[in-house]
Amino acid sequence: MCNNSVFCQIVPPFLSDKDVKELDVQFRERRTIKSDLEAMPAVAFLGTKRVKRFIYDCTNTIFQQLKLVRKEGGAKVKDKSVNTAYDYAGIIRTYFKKKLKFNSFDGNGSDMIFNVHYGENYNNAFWDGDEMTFGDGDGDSFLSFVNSLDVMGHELGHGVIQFTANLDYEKQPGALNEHFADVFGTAIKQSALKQDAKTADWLIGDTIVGPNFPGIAIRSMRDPGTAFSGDPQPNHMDNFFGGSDDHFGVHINSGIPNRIFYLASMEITTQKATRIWFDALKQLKYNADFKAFKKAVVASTTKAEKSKSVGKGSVLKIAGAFKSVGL
Amino acid sequence: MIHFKREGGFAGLSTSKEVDETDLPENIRKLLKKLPDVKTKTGKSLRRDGFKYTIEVEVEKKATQYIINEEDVSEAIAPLIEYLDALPMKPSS
Repeated sequence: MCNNSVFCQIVPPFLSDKDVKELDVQFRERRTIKSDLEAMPAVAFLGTKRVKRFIYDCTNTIFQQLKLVRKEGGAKVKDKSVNTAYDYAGIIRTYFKKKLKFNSFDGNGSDMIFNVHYGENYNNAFWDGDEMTFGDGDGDSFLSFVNSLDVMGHELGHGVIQFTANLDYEKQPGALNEHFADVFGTAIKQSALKQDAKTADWLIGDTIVGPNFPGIAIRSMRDPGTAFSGDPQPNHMDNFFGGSDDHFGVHINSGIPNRIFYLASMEITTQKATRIWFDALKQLKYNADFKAFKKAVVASTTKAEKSKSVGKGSVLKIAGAFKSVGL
Repeated sequence: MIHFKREGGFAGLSTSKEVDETDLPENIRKLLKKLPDVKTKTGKSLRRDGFKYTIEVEVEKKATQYIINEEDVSEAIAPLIEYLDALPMKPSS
């Protein structure tokens, strides 16, 4: 019985029983090591190392880095998901390096590892400390999670956050963690599509929702709470989610800073807002709350205004965006 | 009664299911006994957008709750979570 399964595994035909056992042991050891890692803030923000892309096929099992199917410089393969992951990874790598002067997810040029076809009908994607993993979706509520530049940018963004502020993953710091990942996702998408704040749709995950998903996307940064029927995201502190679900609402309360970023981008452009946000991220501590976030963004905007990289009056406009959501 | 909840993931949505223990197939019911053995890895988890599962086993009005992060799901209990996750959604009260 493997319908709608996350965990049931088909052992790839090229692996013997012995291989599977060894792989399982290696996999579990590596996961244990990863969970013990304490991320260190990146010291060098622009290494000279050439970042290589590695795309692995999980062959619908839950084994990561199972079968290397395309690496840097390798020719296109038949699998569309593999090629999409490879191409999007290239766009994301270039964006961070050229626009934000940050080499790979750690600022130090580490190689980028993407796992595709994870699990069976797996409706999710995640960052795992040093690699990204994507499910194919069930074809009903969700399509392949690789099929979205903003989702892929979001996941690699979690890596960037881990190696800069290393924000906690619960309550307000967790909501900021999710928010910054969405900022990177939408900024990369807008840049690739040559859009600006006024022409962008500000949707996250609009290309991965399936035919029976009750909405148009997973999140709307412009209008949090409107992406689908029952979308729980608030767009103002008055509606802050105080429950314990979702690590105390990390994907829910991120709607509030997402709305701020949208308003700020409308004032000073998405690219300039992203640079300010990234500068602020590097100043934040792991336990930063929304108040500390505001202080850091306003300080970064002040710095940008002094250096004339944003226009006069930008600080007031950004502070106004915070005020409009009750911060 | 078994109460099952899945939360988190990229979408951050929560789903709840419930089922009477006697309605579970024998092979799945046996796996409930393995829940106390689930080991949670020490240290801070670096997984972002992962799922979190809560399984509450209620026997004679005494409830025991198990909270399991996706990365801690062992092969031994994976079929149990897979089964509970595939159950129809609990009607909203």
